[in-house]
Amino acid sequence: MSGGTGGSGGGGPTASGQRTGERTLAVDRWIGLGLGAIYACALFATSRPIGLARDEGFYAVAAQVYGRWLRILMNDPARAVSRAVVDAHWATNHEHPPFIKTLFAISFEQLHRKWGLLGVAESVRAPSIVIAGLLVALVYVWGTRVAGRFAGFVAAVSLAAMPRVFFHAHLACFDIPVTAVFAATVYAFVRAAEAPTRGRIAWCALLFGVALASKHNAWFLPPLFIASTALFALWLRRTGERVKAGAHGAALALLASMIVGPLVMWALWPWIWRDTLARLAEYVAFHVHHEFYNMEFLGQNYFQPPFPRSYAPVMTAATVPTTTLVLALLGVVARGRAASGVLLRRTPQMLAAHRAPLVWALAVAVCYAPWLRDSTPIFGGTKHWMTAYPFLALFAGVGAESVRCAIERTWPALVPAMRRAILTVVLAALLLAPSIVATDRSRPFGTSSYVPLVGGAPGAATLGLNRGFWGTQTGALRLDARVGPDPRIFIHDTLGASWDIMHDDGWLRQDARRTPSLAQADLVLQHHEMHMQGQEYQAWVALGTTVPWHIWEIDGVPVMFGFVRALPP
Amino acid sequence: MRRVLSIAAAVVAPCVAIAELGGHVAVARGVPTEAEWDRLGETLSVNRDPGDLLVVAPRWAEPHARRRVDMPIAQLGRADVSRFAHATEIGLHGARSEELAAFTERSAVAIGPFVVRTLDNPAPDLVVFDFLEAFGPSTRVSGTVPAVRCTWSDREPVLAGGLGGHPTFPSSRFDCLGGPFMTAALTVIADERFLPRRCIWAHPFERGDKVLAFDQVPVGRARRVVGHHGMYWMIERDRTGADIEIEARIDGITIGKAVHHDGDGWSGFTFDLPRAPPDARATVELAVRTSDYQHRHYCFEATLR
Repeated sequence: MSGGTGGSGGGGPTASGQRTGERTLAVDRWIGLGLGAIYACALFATSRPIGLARDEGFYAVAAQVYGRWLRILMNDPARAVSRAVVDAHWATNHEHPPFIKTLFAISFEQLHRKWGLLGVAESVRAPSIVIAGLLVALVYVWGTRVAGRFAGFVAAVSLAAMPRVFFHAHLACFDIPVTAVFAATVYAFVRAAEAPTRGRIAWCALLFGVALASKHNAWFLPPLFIASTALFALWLRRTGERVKAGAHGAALALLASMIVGPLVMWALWPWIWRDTLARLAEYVAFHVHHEFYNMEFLGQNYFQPPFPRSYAPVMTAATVPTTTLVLALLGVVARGRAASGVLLRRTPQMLAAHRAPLVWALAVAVCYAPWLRDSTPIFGGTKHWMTAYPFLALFAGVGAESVRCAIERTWPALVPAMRRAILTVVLAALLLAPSIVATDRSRPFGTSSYVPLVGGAPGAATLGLNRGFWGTQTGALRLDARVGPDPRIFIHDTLGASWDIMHDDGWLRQDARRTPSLAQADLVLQHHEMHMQGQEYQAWVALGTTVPWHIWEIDGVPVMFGFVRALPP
Repeated sequence: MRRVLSIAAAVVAPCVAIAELGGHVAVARGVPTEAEWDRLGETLSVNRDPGDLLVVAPRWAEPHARRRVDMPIAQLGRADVSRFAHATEIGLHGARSEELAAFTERSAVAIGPFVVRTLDNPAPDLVVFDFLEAFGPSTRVSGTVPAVRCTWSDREPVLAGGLGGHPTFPSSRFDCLGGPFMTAALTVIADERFLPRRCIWAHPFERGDKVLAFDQVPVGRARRVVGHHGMYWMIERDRTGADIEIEARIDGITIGKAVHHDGDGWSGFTFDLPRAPPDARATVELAVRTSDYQHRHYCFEATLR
């Protein structure tokens, strides 16, 4: 992490920075994969207390259905692709594209059903966890290419240790996978723009197709590619270089993506093999006209437009470690100053050194742009703009490198090799410690965690910020002797399918049974969400008590209650 | 200038990191321990008048207090604080309750991370008669069109709506024609801020009035009827339902009407009582009606003051 591949110094591209931009050393790929592997192991190790989220229940069921189709495909391909068989299997959860769920299905079939290595929950979560590891690896490699190993390392760990990223990285959902595929596609686009070989253009187009088949966040990639290509052209025009020669790689990648991407999506999604246009229109309509769910923000429950435009920036500041944000800001300033200098002086041959940060900045803007409209739903919390976070982390890496360089410039006595190594390690530890501590303290209630800037979870609760959603808190349920045998449990916001998987996997006491009837339950769970408070009051009256049997909390803030029936006086 | 910027770049992020780490320590150390909550509970159970209102600030910390101190459902689901002459406020790390802003401080004592304040209401509006407390088998509940009489039972099956559903109908309630929603019962609803409001569930009938009659009400000792009404917020927030009217009658004579519009949330009403001798008692009827009874999860509370 001593910047062995050369760093830009944050103040602008240097000769070593350009060399870094030209190649990624093989060793860095291995370092990146090593970081990713460590991350994936950490995710596996911390997975179980995070109960299966509502959406995971739906996707796990879909994965099992798709898994059956995959078996038919292996044994009788002609039958598998028939309309009746395709529709019978792929109608399930067809409002979401298939790629990630297909990975869940393959993992379920192999790791659970065939080899029995993992339970159902862990088998469907495994692909997301592995993809999260690959995302960390990608960020390391990309950060290293642009600004050196120190920057790459800080970027990778900053992303991995964003508490909300860490939480979602566990889940058999689409948010982290699409974040990874989104980042990978942008990486491929930049690589194609740098040197437009057929292979790189093909990779970009294929990855765009995979992104389309992952989640609708991919719809924001074409605007990003168009804006980036235009920006490259403007840059070249300003510096007096040939626009066509310098921007044609990006243009080719964009064109190829627009042609090949939809075909890849079609190929990966059996549901749209027939009635393609109608089914695609249904898919688009589902997301464009998605129903509005509830979300608490600053003490108000929002359930319909207009939504507060401050939601995305405030929630980012409240949930992303402040040090990471400050580093990202420093990174933007450092790269911005350097780019402005180049443009003011009209220095030629410098786009290559600035291309990636330009695209990162545009990516962040594109990913946040939907929340400039007050009609964009906010119910997903921070996960809906999580595709921006790898780019924020990359800027944080650049910012860290600029801090390191500034320290060396200011106190040159620290520069000699041994001291530089120590400085690098100490600085990395210092800059990353807040994120790592925040992530560690957020477990297992990631959607309830907030950074000290807003007073942590207690400060956020006082401000009236959401304390969690999807009912994942049920994973922390441990029933002791105070709950009698064969308890009937009202599981509140936890999906029945999610409970059943956790129960069958042995995560929960085996004599416990879920009941849809709050009134008949022996134990009523209450996941705290502002708009669901009415269910707690139902429990008070039904069970004859207002005293929680148990409170699950983060830093003293209740996130789930358990109520048991009051004993007769 | 360049050197200043360089120094700034060198120190800002490390300083922010150190401050953020300090913030984590501060947040962690600020969490009250179980022992501190227990100590608070023990102190309050000895020193507090059970009739005094107990409020926890910030509100999210209240469930911890409920595990240590008796907080009856009537207090938790209070209509407002005006009826209480005194209050005890538990403030975590100095937090104050906006609800008690008008109360004056009589004493304050620090117990661990808490400040326990004894507060006086400078202008208490004391309750002479509470219709919620009086609601029970002696209440008469009836419908006018058609003329029906609801019957009291202590053995009805408890019904609760569950996720997104209706408030709980307890086993002790009036059974009326038209299904469980037509019941009359004491329950707790979530208001527009999702706060608990204890009230009498009085879903109006399709036609005519639903009349709740209370006999031997000491009207001579009070000057007015003070009440609140609303619905489970999820029902009324779309603002598509019909208005609901509540009418108060003393021995058959109307003294006031109030209308609840969808979107009003938990709102108050006041009717002046006619002058009467101090020992006067009367039958008070509260009649509820609407033009369209679909999804009218109406709930009200009323007192004589």
